[in-house]
Amino acid sequence: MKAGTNRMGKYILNRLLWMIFVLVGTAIVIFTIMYFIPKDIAKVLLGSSATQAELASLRERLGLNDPYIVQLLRYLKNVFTKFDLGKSYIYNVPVMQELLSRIPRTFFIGCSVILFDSLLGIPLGLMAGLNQNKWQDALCMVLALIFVSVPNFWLALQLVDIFAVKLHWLPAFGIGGIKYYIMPVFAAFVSGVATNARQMRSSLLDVTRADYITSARAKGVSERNVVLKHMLPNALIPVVTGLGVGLGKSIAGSVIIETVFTIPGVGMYLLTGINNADYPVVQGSIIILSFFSALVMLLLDIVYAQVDPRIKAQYSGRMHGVTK
Amino acid sequence: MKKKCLSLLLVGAMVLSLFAACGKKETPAAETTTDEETETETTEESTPAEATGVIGKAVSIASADPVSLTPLRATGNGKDVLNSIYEYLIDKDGFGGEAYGVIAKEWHWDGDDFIVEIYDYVHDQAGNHITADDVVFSYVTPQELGYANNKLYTYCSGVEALDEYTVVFHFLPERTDYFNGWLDMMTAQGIFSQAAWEASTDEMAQHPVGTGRYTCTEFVDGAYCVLQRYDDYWQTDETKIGRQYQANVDQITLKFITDPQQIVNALKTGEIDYNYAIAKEALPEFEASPDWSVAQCYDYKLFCAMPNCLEGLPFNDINLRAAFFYALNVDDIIAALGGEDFAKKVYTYGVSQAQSYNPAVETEDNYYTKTDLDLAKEYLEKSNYNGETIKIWYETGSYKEQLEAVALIAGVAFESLGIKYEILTKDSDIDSIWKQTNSDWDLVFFNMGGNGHVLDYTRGIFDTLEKEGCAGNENDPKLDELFQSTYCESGKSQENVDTFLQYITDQYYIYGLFQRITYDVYLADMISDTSVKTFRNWIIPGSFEYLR
Repeated sequence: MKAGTNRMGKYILNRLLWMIFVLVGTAIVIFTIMYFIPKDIAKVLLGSSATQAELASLRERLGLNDPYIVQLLRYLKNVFTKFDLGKSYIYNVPVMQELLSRIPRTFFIGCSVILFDSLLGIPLGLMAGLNQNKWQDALCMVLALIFVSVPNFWLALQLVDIFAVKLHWLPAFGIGGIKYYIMPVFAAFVSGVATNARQMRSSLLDVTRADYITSARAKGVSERNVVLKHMLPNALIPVVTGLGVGLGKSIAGSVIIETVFTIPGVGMYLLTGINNADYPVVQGSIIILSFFSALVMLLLDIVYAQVDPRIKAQYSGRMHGVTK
Repeated sequence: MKKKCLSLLLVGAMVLSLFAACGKKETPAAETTTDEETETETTEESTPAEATGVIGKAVSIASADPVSLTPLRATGNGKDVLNSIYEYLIDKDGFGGEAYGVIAKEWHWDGDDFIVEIYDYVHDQAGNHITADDVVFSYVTPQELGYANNKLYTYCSGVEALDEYTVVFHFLPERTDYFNGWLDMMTAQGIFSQAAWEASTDEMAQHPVGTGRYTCTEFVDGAYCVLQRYDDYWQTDETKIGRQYQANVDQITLKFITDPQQIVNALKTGEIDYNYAIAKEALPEFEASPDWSVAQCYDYKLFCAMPNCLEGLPFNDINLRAAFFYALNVDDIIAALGGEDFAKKVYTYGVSQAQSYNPAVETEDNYYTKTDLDLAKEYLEKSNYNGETIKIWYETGSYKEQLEAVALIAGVAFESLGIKYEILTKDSDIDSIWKQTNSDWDLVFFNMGGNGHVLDYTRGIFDTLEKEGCAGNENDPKLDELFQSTYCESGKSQENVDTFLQYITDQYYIYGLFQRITYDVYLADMISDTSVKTFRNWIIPGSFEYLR
């Protein structure tokens, strides 16, 4: 048991170390991309009326005249030793400060989306898989097809038109109480429900044909127990992976929903940074988003290691002859 | 079993940790439409109305997000918010009038020194008395902290306090007579007290303390800002308060809405009462409703065409320039932009609402807005054009759609003359092409912003002090002489302005094409039709005339 725990601890440590590499790699890539965009930040900041002297002075002050490697190392040092993502070129506000105030909103939407994706997508897929080729299967798959085909920005606008403009039930935009998040979350989770339902159905059908299910039935295990104890845990493995990826996507891809509903989250901040050529904002937002994506993946891998019997066996030592 | 429990625990922990990050409860945005709605909004935390006491007149307006309310960044997004909180020493009447003192009581030149005497009873919203030292502090602090927009040392060698209420700006000799130089300097920085600054922990980003008519009672970056009328405003003499510094409404809620369709929805749902430049498609609905007023506004941006007159390039030949401008059909451009309701043809290099704009220029005879293909062909015959491909550039910034239409119609003009051309795009932020002598282009379409005077549009194009050189006056000493004698404080007479603009017209150096027409929508029974905005269309809700 202790050996298994140690192995799991090493696995987590190993993943944490990789996470650092991922973050440093992300920082280098995003910095390099922004560095090589042929845009003169000084001109963006000072406008078309700036003199050459003003432009030169600002470039010097921002350190833009330094060689690429000097700028990169300075940036990495600030980010990873001081947790300083720099200041917005346009607003002169620390990027970290802005992101900290916006992350909760983006996460709230992301987590809510995953919650509803799971609560609706998994039962739908289960119903479809257990009733293959019956009307329930057809209904679920038609629903999934509709959900996956509806673009979220279009759905968002339709929801606003119906529930805010015509019925006056919900606010059309902005932030405030929970009712401000109902339409954004709904618009964001619909396609995920479809994806999860289809994934769940597909995995369940794969598992249904597995030898151990046939074996369980042959041993006289009740159908309920076959489904709940043998089919579901195994069928859920790819779905859980999908949910983790979905969380990462819904957080990183929050730009559209946040823009449509004017929610000041990370996505909207990133978009504003891109539009304004505000490089520290873009770089900082990407690093933070990648950090949370990596964190979600780490947690997911830990869960995965517990759920997947093959990985569980590997870290409990059984595959290497280490007894419990 | 234990492992399963552990896995479930981990899943739970993951979800909980993520939700834990969402712990901060948001304060609902201000609702000012009905009492019932306000009551509904007070369920979670205090609303802006609750926080500030009983509200009389209140208005809600869509606005750009300033992100920070620090006085160090007095330009850019959110000017309408910042201008309600902070004041300048001297301001230009934003409605086409002259400069007037705000915090400054008097001012005069003494050689290269610009001396400003401030009122001796100015105080900020925290009660701090404003002195000359505070003015110096306001100007110098942004420089020390590396803020980009304050151009103190572009214009001056320094600023110092002469006595408790007198400040002297030591102008650089070449900037003393520079066109609008002193006024640029005066409007470059909102004034704040050193005491309030030092008491702030966040450079006043969230809790600003200015000297203006409104205090900020609530600011949620990216969402909204609530401004409350400051009743203890320092200036008690109403005759000395400018039009853009009025406080005709008790509370202003500015909502930062980014999506154009959501702005329309916000009007329809009563979330906002006024919006500038509504989407074209939404106009008919508002025009048809008696509840809404729709006001037409002329945009201050001028859309232009400029040929590259450098030696060795095709448009160095005045006849070829004339041929192109007579072949170009501006009416087609206007039609492509939605017709005369959405774009206005201009007749000089300037917009019609600018200072020193001479309405007498609005004839087809003295400007080349009338298409004359025969005349164009005559000019082409006289030119030295020998089959070169004309390289057209247009900017792909905020007005890409408009400029692309212009470039395509310019292509039609070239085709009608049998001239080869190619259309290229250029990111306006990457390379401001007219600022440098550049032989990579022959004709460029772009837009220029102004600040109230018709000569503002010449800045950065003919201005050799600001630029190393430019295509127009590179080879024309007369143009340079005319510009130098006009673009200065002592030479900006109407006669000089007219002569200069007519000269660049006659030489086909630059071509003003059109200005945009936009539409404001606001509640008909709330805001008066006579309510106006500044030249640059900055919304100043405190200055609106309110009907209820």
